[in-house]
Amino acid sequence: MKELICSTIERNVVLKCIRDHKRLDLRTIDETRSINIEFHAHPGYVSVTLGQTHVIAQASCRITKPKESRASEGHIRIHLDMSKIPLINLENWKHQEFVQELNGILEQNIRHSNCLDLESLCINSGELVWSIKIDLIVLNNCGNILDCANIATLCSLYHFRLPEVSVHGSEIRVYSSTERRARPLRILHFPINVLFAFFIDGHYTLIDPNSDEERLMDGFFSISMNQHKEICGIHMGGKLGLKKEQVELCKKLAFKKVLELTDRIRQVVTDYYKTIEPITHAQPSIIRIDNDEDEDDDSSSSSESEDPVLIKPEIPPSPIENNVSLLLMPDLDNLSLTDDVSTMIATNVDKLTSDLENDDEHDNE
Amino acid sequence: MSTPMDTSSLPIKNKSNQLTSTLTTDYIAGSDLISIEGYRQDGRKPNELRHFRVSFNVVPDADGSCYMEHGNCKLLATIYGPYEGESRSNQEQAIITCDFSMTSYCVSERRLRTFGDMKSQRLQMAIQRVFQQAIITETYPKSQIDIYLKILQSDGNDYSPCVNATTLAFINAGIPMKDFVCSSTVGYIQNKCIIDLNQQEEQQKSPQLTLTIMPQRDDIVALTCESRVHHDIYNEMLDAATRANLQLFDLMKQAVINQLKTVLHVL
Repeated sequence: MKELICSTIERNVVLKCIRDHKRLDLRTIDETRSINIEFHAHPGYVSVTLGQTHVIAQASCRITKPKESRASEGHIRIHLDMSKIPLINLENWKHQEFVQELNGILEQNIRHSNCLDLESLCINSGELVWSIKIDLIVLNNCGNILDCANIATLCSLYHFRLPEVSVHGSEIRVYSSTERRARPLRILHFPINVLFAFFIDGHYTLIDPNSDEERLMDGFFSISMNQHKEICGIHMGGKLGLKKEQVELCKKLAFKKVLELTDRIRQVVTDYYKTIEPITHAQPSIIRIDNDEDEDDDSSSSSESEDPVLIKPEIPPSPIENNVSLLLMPDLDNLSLTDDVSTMIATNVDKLTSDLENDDEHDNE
Repeated sequence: MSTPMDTSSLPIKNKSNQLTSTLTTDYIAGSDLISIEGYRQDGRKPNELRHFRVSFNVVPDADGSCYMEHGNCKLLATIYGPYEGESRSNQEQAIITCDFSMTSYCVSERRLRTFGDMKSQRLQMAIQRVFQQAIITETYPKSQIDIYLKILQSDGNDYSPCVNATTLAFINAGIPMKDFVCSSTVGYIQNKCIIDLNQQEEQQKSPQLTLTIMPQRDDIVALTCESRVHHDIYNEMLDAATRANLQLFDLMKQAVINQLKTVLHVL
């Protein structure tokens, strides 16, 4: 995590401040930067800023075949994408390592702690399950990408809405969000990550280092906890030798932060949906009237206009659209799919939601 | 053949929420990982390490080498260095690189991808970090030390035996270190902490912890906990892991002393 270039003056100033238990941006040693969470109309899209560090996340879903050993569990995958720009000072080969390390920590925190109920993602045991993928993109790196990305992942999961599915024997039918309200994912708990930076042979600790502090730290210690006081993951990195008491102290500090953040995330998402609810579900089936008539006749096979969509499986699933991906779906002839009306392009996010709904009528072929 | 869980002697800890209760049930049908008498599947008690055997100077060409058998895990660690680093290398300290690979016959199903995959890369990075901290690198400026690890037979966790073997190889090479580095895993099954997990116990979905410490300095060098575990259970596991590492340290020290005795013919 160390960058190559750091002037001696900068280093001396920052280390001197830390020795006096002060920080250059006037925070205390156990204060995180301000967190700003923003959603847009698309379910699962969230933009989180932690101070100046900016990460966006998008959740998407697809229907796939489950693993043989776990026939009734869905999948979840997290992918962190970081171009070289935010890490321009790191050596070339270290960039890859850095991204892989962060990706590993994020995946372990979310996956191994069972934060998402995978069995609720099952459609047909042994044949069809939902597979959720979260794509994270780092737009600006001002220290502590790990915490920011973690919050973005959790918000995105909590914000995401899964399309409703009905099973008729061996055929399934996926409803668009205007036909049946999409349901939220079943999240059991929120594993929130807190990063501690250690300086000067591990004698001094800070929470949430910014980019200067991160450059000069000896190593980091990240704890992921939830509000039930359960530890969901611990990772250490860098050149660190810690005592047990330091670990204890970190855990206590982390727990306080975790409580605040869990409430915050829940609050933000529920508030968003309270404001958005009256607008999205005002028009039930007005848009879909002509297609519905075709669908009612034969629910087992797809209608005329949708055949080309089904036959061409090489349409790649774009992470931005909330489409159900037709790739990797077994037994396509048993599937009936209604076009998802709420496919939106990311560039529209500046307009109001009501405008977006009207736009989609024209966007849909 | 299902034996009931041995919880009569221990109070049941009901500290976790109903929805998020830690899974302490086994996935092996019909038999428990810890039997009623308190023995594990391989006959060990919960606080017993696996069989530990070490031999030094296995690779004559290398500066230091160590062949280690830790239970069913057999691996070879070799050290080359310190030697002159590249021209861009660090001017004040030695650079430590690590190369980890497995043989294709090390697991029960023949393994096609023996190096360069995700797990190998993570392990390499982790070991390089640990030893960058443990070696007194200031004594060898502008030089490079290579660690080569080869797993001949794998039994679940590779990280801990690798760290232990590398420590012994460094001692064999005569490179000054701040302290031994010992590592071991700890699991929590059926309300008991068990140390030094083998593959079967690791594949359970129970909480696990890997602790790497420098025993004499009492420093935690690396700590990885990848499953959800309650706060108090975590403390217990940490204590058990520290004890396991101290046991391991005694074994390692004894092995080094025996090696010195045979080499120097000192009583």
